Amino acid sequence: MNYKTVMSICPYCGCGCGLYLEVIDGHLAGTMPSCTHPISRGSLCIKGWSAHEFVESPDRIRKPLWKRGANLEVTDWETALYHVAEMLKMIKEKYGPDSIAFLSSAKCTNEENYALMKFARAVIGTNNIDHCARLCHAPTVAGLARAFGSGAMTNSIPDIEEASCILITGSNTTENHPMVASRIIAARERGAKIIVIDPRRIHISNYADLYIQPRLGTDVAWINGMMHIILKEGWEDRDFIESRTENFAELERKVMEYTPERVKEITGIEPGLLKIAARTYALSDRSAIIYTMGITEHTTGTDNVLSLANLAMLTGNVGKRGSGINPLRGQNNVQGACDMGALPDVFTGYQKVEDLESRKKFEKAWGVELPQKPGFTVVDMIDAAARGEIRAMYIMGENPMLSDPDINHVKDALSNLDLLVVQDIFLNQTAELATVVFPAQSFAEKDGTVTSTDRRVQRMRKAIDPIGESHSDWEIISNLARAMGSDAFYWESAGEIFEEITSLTPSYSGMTYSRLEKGSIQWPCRDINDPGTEVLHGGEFARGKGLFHPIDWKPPNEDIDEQYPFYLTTGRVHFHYHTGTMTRRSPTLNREMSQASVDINPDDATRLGISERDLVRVSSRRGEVKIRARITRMVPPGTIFIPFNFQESAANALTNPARDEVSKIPEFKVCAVNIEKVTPRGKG
Amino acid sequence: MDKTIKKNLVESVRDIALDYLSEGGYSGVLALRRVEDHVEPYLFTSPNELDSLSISGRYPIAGVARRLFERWPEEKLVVVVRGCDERHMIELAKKGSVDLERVRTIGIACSEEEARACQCVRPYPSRVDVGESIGDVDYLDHETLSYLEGLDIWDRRRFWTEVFSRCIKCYGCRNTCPLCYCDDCRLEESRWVRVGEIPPEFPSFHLIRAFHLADKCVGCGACERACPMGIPLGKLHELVRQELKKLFGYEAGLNVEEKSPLLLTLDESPMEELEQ
Repeated sequence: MNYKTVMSICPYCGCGCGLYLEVIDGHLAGTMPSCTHPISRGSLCIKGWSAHEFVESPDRIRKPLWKRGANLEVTDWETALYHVAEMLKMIKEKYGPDSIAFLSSAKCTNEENYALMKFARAVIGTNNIDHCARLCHAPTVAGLARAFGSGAMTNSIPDIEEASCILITGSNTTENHPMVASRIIAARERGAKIIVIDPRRIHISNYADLYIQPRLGTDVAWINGMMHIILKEGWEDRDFIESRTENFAELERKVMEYTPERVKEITGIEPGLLKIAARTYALSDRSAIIYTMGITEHTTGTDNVLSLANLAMLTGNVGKRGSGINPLRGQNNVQGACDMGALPDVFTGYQKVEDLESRKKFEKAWGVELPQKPGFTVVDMIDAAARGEIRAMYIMGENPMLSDPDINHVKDALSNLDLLVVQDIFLNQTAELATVVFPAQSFAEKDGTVTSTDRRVQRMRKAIDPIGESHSDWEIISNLARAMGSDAFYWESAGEIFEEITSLTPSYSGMTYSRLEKGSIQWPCRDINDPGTEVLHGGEFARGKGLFHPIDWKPPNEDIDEQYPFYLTTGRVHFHYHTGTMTRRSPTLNREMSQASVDINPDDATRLGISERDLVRVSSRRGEVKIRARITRMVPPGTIFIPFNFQESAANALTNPARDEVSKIPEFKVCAVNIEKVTPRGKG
Repeated sequence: MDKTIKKNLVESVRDIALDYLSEGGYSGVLALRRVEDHVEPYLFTSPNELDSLSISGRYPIAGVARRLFERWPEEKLVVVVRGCDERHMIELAKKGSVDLERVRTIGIACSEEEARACQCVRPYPSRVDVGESIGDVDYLDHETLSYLEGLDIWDRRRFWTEVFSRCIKCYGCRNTCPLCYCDDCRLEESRWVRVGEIPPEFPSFHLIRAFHLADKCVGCGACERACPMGIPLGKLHELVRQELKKLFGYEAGLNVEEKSPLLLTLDESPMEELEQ
């Protein structure tokens, strides 16, 4: 009898649940939650329970592919690697290293992200590397680094249960971070007050003591308004402000401009409700803020994050258990991909490429000279490709053809390249455009580590043999590096890469594979006896004093008008994950939801003569999609919602690529659209 | 329970398991094993692995046994069971999913502390190999149960509507239950439960489960432990179990020969014999 269970980490959201893969005769037979894991504690969501289902799909890419004429054809590894190596050498020679750009992956392990980061910088010699964190929590990384000195979740998932007040904003927690919602429900059972502030009446708002529905894109205004009330009423934490922060006077001057009446004009929030929210948040013993993309995916994303940081510091809600600013990261290793320096301006552990000392350290370790100028971000890369400035792109485990804003533009840009290399487990919409496709391995076929939303570094473990001729991403990158003549890619296992990472990354330096065998460790972990850090900024902030930023509200980039009279907001749904390459191949999840729908408020639907399941056309200045209507009061009148998970009705054909100046995140959460019912031919 | 006794218990289990493995005749011992700080279900096939065998932690291990027999119906297996695991096995045998002739159990009696933690009434298997049985007990949460029974129909409905509205349709209650495994699950049929929406409509999803398990549930509480949203599923099932006891004097999992009253005709002949 050939049966085993292999402990690993869920490949979906950033909760980082521990699960067992059940293996029968070398094939995945099931998934079971780990009862002893600190996050999953014997539970999983439907995606976690189905984590094994996509792995052995017949659609997996089994051999390298290369483009012959208009088609992708099967080839062998040697040919594919040689072809890519020669093309990269030639393009680098002809157009310079900065004509090549890399997209790393929040789905891949720390080791793989490190390998690609090293390849881009050490072998090609460019800082043009980024990944989809740009499209989710770039404002968090930028904003919290400015305010606190470290751009990560301040607290931990388990200690949310200790909060006495939880303010949830821009996070559909039950649907997208179910195991965090589990803690929120438990905190509520213990008496915690729950405040939900969200333009959509999401599932968790049913459990809120107070639900407030602001207009889209008005976050800075209501947060300033809350701070205005707190200061007027004297509910601020004077001791904390004086001993732990700076620039308070500037903040005070600014928020005094945001009277409840003015805030109501901008946000639509009744002053009385905002006052209850302010009092509950400010006067509770331990108040935690939980947020996600509803805060970040705006042209004011960084402003929104800085405003939340202001609110937390004003009330002394940083640095203690059950409080803090808790951005929930969306992918199982998006924290890790950032930590590994798969970003255009930093090496691992956020060591800046512009900083001479950091550069010297990596130059010494890698034995090459490194570029100083920060590279392109995701969206700038696409623009540069469209302009012809970027000639080659190397995309590992990402699908910008569905995940990036304005995908018609993305397609034009990618089609304009001399070389597009895609490394993936499925032939997704991006891979279809590739010059060469390398077959990679899923989470179940390889070893490595991932870092979940609360900075928790955990081991993923190989459960089954590779599908087809697939290799792990770090093996592919190493082979390619060697094919290009590099001698800095000699690793034999993921563990060896991890050793290299910890030797160069102060916040990971106390971690080893053998320590991680015992259980997870949260960074910073600076030496072998350091147990890791559950709560950041305890004694002092990472930057010393917390910095208040006076912020003014700015409207979204695009407003509604006669031609496009509806606001569109986008996001994810419970049963699917991002671009659906994995979840839509999972029978359980596909059965629950096999196609997208657009959420429309019943008042709008009545006015437009749209009924449930009717086919409608949604159009923006950038594109249009056809999609079925779902009539629901989850969205307010005047606003519609489309999930971005579905290629047939891709929300990102509509979205606005306008971006936040600081963090370069596009405004996925607000754009102007029109909706009309599609009338069958002959009946119009 | 103090640590030395527990240590002796686990060593006794290892000794018995070792006997079975060295004797031959059985393909493996299905039990829990400890790896660092984690406990997981494991199929022991070699005596030199037994040092990691553990008896702390709770996994509905009969579900694993069922999957193993589904794949290897001809094999013979030793399963380390507590009272609830054994009752699962008996119910699986009634459904024909496990052939008890092919199973040997190593029975562990639960301590008082363990029985309390599980709100158990029968914390021992029919044959106790290891530990001292504390006999029948009553650690049910009577406060909650009688509160729920005392509510009038509207308040009761309000209570269950509220708790079920938390449901995020993870199917964890079904997936973890060793006895909830029909080939065609009604919870997945759009005729019964609308797909793609959370929470699933009240009362269809959870009451379908409660009725389907009415004569099978052994009250192990795995469903409630697996629920991320804190829905008191164990209480729901306990109330149904008590009804069955009251109406028919029937309790699931005790005797493999005893047929469910829900599968009997009025003259108590098994229902299937009438089908032609």
